[in-house]
Amino acid sequence: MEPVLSIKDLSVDFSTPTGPIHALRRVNLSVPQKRIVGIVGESGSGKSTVVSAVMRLLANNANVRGGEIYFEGCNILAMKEKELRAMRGEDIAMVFQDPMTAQTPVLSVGQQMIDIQYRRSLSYKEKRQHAIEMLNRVGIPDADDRVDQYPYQFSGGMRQRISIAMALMMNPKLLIADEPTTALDVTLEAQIIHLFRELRKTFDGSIIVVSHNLGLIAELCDEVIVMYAGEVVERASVDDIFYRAAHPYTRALLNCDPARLGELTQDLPTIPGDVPDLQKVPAGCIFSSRCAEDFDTCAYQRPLMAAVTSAHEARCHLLSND
Amino acid sequence: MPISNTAVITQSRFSAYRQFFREPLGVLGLVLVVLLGLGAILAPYLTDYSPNAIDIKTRLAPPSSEHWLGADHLGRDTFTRVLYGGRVALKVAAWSISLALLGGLLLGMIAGYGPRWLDNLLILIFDAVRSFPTIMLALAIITLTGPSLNMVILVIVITSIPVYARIVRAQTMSLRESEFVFAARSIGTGWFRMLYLHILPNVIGPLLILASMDIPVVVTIESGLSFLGLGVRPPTASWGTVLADGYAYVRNTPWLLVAGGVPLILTTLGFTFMGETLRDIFDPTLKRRD
Amino acid sequence: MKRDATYYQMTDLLKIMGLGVRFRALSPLAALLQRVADPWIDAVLDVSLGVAPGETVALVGESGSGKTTLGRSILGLVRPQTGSIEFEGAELCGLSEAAYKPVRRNIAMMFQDPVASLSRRRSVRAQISEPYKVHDMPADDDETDSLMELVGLNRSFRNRFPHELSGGQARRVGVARALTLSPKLIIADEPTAGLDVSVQGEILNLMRDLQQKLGISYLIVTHNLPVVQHVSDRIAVMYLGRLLEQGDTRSIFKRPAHPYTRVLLDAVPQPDPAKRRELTSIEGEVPSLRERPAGCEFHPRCVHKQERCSWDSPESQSLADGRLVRCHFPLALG
Repeated sequence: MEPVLSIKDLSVDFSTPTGPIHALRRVNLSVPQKRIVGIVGESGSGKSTVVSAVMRLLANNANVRGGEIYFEGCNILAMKEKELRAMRGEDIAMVFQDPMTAQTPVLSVGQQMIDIQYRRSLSYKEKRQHAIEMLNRVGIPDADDRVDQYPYQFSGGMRQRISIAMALMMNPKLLIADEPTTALDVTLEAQIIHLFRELRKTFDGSIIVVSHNLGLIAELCDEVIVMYAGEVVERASVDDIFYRAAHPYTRALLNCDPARLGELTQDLPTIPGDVPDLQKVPAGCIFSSRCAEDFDTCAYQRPLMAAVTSAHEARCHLLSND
Repeated sequence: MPISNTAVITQSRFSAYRQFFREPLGVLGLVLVVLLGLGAILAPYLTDYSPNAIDIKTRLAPPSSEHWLGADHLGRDTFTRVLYGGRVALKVAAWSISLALLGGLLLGMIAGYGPRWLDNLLILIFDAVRSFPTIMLALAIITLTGPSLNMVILVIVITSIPVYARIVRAQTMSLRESEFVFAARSIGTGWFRMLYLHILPNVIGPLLILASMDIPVVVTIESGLSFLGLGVRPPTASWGTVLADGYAYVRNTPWLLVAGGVPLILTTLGFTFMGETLRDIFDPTLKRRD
Repeated sequence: MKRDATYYQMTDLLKIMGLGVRFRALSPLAALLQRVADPWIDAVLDVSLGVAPGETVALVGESGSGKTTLGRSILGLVRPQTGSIEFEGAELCGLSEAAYKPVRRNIAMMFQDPVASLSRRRSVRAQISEPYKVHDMPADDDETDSLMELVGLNRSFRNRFPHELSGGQARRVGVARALTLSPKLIIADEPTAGLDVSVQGEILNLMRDLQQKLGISYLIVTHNLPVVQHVSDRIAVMYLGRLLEQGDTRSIFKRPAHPYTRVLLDAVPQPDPAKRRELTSIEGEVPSLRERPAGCEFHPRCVHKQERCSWDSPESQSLADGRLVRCHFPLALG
């Protein structure tokens, strides 16, 4: 089956007064139909840049240096503004990190949800009904009354639910959730995870979850893509990533997560060093400066994605050497 | 969003100077201001005439090689009077703005950081003073004391302090709740040190920009008062008195009006351009960070 | 570390007793017009807690729990209305701002937003040695240098400004500044907020090293539960301003006694696909502080609630292993 989204060799720079930052370099990833794909990475990994590129919502100083993003056979990067607007909200929808600023404060929730349906030729009543149904689906109590309320009258957790409702209204083929629970308390996070699981039963499309929280990724995703400093370093099913991680960065990252550590008497593990300066991208493997298992080739030759199994690859020389 | 462990490149790294000189209007403004300032300071060297030297023979003469801008109704060289008028403007601007700044800063910080009752009292005073239009207040005071430049300066200072103080007060009150102020309190910083080290540097920037935009206003007020005969006493040259003479003798020569009005216009343009450019550089709401 | 089942021991460095912090939600006029009888909200309500010398206590809770307010009230940045805070035997509540000054030599704070907590226009070095100047002590440059080394900032950082630092670096400056006067207690407000998991350990390990070297006590205010398990000796769980459960960290993590603690621990997403579970033991959201539930604060959302919970606010009771729980029907430990 054709993947819903296919990113090929995407490279993005950000221009700054002191020179360009090479934020994404030759990123390849694809999202199969009806799957939940997680993109996990830390600061500077470029994960948010990738999804911003898909939505064509990059900052003004961003330049796409190369690559294609195929959605339903069309290259998003080549689309005109008109086509993009037709696509956003309808075929691809996004849920953002901060629920408090995601809705327009001066329009009621219902008005905003009706607005999203502008492409449909339904009556006002039907659109409003659809909005109420969506609010019910995401667990907003008393949806009939609350649909006319304003965003400030809802709490943060509810507003995130509303964001999800608004994103799913048009039954998009792809839903992108960028750090959907980072701004929420842990009990709310658990409820949103539950909501995603419930919605999945009725939602036909695929979901991309972008997060730095390994726990969230493990709870929700079928497949995981690990990014580091602008590159994809590993790609595998969720089980393979968490139990059989192949890339040293993935392994180190899992090792550092305090929720995975058993009894502790020593210090907490860390990955020593810093993310390299992306204005002067070093030669060789991007992780070599912090890798515990590096050897000479790593410093001067960029590794290619090597297969661990047919559905599991990692960008590491250790794999080709085996 | 996670804070990166790599250094953040921010706009501040890029020197304010460089940003300023990229803006043509700002540079133009600076040039105008510098020219006007130099003209005022170097007045004695730029002209041989004395501003009050009467020479009836050249009464109302049009511009010539001897009188670059012509002469007024008493034969005094207009160009010289304009230059010396610039000195008056400079004096007024320098004194009134500095005193207003000082007063505004002090009172504003005290109102913003101090106890509620003090704030309420100061605000009351500010509002009372501000309810008088400047010109009205000037007319009232000067009618009592007689026209004088110092009175003009005093009036301007009195009416400007509340404006500056309010701005400082608002800034201070918002800074009072910021993290670094809490942090400074947590190590035991007292109020004086807090105001001097932590509040003042963060408050003074916008204030200086405001002050520079206020200079043309102040100069215009002085000119206005002098025009009405309430500012400098004759025969002292001021752009306002030159304008007054020009108004009286407009049918004989238009040059006095031009000579009095153009420097005012240039002052306003110059400081406004400069001030707006500075504000664009320093105003955080207009700054764009990555 | 065996500890009696009381809030605090005689030997404790910090003793918080029945602390209450209220904020005005409405001005007197607005309250009158809106006919609201009680325009106050209780950010901290009847909290009692002790911290021993050399111990690390974690104060955990979600938004609105009051944990940050509690932390700040210890330093006098926020003034409590009721209760008492004793530090080294001396009462802190009611001290004037000036009288608090010597206290602030012995208690220091690490702030949640490290860059915002630094003064924008002063160099790193000036800010680390700021406490000396504030307390009229001669600046000890050697000491400042060695502190910077201790926290892992080399000499090149001396003259940098806050906006030139990364988040992690700014945190270290915060730590160095907190250490300058060798405090006995450091209140760390969300020390891992915004830090990537791969570098969280750096700051926590540093704090632990310093504790071993200098015997500093920590009160860590955080909502990051996985980390708490590894760095704290005792944990205190707050909800809507009340302390619901406190005791030895390991025991509480193994077997939480309060239903809320149980929910909190269960809610943490596990980085292990095999451990996926459904959180069924809680509904709804944290109520607003303006509408404090009657009886036990947690009862509207508690799956174990009984009739009594809706009108009778539970007192703290001590359990077998030395912990304290505020619940009528604590979960079985056995």
